[in-house]
Amino acid sequence: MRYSSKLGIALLILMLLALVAVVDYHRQRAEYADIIWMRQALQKAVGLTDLSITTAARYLRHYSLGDLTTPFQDYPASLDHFPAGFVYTPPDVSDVPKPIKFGPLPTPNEGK
Amino acid sequence: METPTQSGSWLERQRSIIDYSLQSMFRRRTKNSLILVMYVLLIFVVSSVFFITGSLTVELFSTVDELPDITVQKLIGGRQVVIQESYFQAIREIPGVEAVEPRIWGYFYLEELQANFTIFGMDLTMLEEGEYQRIVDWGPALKKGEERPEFRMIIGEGVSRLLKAIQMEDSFLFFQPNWDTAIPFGIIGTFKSETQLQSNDLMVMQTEGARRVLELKEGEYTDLVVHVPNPEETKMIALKIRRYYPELRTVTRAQIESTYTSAFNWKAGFVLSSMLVVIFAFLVLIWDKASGLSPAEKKEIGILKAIGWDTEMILSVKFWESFIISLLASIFGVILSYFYIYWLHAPGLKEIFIGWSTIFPSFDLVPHIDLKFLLLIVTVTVIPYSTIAIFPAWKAAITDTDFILRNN
Repeated sequence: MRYSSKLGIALLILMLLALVAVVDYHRQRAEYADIIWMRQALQKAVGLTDLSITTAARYLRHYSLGDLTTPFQDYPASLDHFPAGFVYTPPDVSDVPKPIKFGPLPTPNEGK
Repeated sequence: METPTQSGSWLERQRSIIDYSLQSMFRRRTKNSLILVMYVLLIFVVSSVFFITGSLTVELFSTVDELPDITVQKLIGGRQVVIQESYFQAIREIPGVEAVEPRIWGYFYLEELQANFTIFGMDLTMLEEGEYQRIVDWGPALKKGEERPEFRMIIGEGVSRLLKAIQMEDSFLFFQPNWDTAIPFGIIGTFKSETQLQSNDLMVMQTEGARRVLELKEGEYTDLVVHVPNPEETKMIALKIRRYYPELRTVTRAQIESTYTSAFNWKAGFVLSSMLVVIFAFLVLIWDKASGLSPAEKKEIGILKAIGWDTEMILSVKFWESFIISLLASIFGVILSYFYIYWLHAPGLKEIFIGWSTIFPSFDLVPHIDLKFLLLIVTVTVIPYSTIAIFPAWKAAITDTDFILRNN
């Protein structure tokens, strides 16, 4: 058998594997449509954020609602203790109260 | 081996060239299989990370529309503390606010199991009625007399699994050190496994029960949820709340969305650093390829030229060599990572995201494959590898045959 035919067979096998993956992908996506309703219902009833993939600390379980001092909450300058902590990027804390500013009070237009 | 000739169709010629390329790859099988393994590993790692973060982000976003418009927390010394009833009325009076809803929730650490549970207080009758019934697997009804409406709860699957291990699957005894007696909470149902990614560690109980377990006094709440019907106004209302009460912190839905977007950004953390080793090894490999051919390879090119092959054909041979390796490696690597993540549920990689939790979800992720990811993988691996492999061959092919043969 020619080498190119062997390569062809190898590629065919890979393509078949890929086909299995594609079929599986579509099957799982179709099932997902049913699941999604339940998740949304739960989210509506229990309005908590985030996924419960890690429960090691509260700033990992609900990290979009975490404290400002989050990783340092155990004692000053304590480093982030939990291994999952470095997979997450820090939450958006743009609305956190800023330090006291002297001078004119902020106006309603400031946030625009 | 069939000698490539100028005769025959273009396709037949290419096929003969591929035959030749494969044969010469086979002759250097140790080196080439090493390259293939490294290549598959690189593509496998990169696409696994893309798949897992893509799926998790999609999971997060699947319920983002149901999140509260504004969450209000009270901060003292940078920490969240309980919020008093007195804030409700003032916030409700801000124009544009439809309703303000206090929430009671928190965590319960069970020392025996070293597990953290999330406790959430709400009116459970809401879940017992209407469409919400479908998200709970209802347990057997509690016996008469045992029924204490304020001390009942619905738990997540992970909690249920843990409680089964300590024979408390029907009712759980809550105890805080300063209580006189423990309080049994009847478990009236378990959240369905479909909602596991959100509900795994949840104990949803009647508001009064949650208040008791979390030891919140009357008139104290964990946080407030503000409903704003017009999304255009949300940011301004949040700003007003912070201006009126500088001690309050607001988290808008837009902020949570932006947190979600970057939460599992693959560039963050361990995943990248673990990939560095593979990337570096691959770079060394590419460098080795680009820095020149081995004397044997040069000699081969010299001989081919001496027997009448032209430069274009030699380049074709080299192109096919690297293209075949890239193609096989990328298809195989991507398929491998698909099965690894979505069939085997990412053993090894999963632990990075879970950390030291005691309550593990099954990590049954829904596949999410972005064509952009696949294109990116191909762009950063296949294209540089294919191009860089041709360059030294071209250099050898344009050198005088006599010079190559004599210098080896």
